[in-house]
Amino acid sequence: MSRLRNRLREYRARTRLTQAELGEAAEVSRRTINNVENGIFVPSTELALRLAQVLGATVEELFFLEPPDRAEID
Amino acid sequence: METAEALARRRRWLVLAAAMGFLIWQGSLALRGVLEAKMLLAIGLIGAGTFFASLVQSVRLGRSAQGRKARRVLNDELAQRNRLVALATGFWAMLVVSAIIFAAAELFRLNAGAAAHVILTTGVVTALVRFALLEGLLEPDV
Repeated sequence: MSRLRNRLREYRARTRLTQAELGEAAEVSRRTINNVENGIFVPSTELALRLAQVLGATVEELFFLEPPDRAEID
Repeated sequence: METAEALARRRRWLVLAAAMGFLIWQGSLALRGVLEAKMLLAIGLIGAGTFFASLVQSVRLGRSAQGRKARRVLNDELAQRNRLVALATGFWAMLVVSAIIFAAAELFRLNAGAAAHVILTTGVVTALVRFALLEGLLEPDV
């Protein structure tokens, strides 16, 4: 099964925002940003759109499905 | 204005205090006949007082006008998910304890009131402690 991955940390680093600053801009806590970055928490569509807006990216750039392993397919 | 981070930290401890208060309060009721009545009343009042005071305080967190944004952050979607997970954990804990009491009732004579106390206390305390843990009670402050 494919897994949801994200490039939030990478895009946040590009915009030089801390987790707390990104959280404040997107109106969520620093813990929420940390949990999303580490793949522990999958955000709602609304939050994904807000994060993308703050980081100047598209949702598809931030979040993507990792293709399943070859071994898994076989 | 208190930051959302500081409010979240306070809420974690308030929720834990509420859990401990509830445990002490219900524990004092379960110990009727074991300890002196006046002592039990004092313990019960301390427990109930802690429980209700912590609950009221946690609900009132960030109620000021300046705290509106912080409150929104405090109840963001991760907090809402944590609340649901904590409630589900409390529910499962109640089911497990109910099954244990049900099995034990085959062997021992159990008081229905005491059993209800144990089941209710387990559910409430488990849910509150789980929520505090999910909100990062054991994580270092950043």
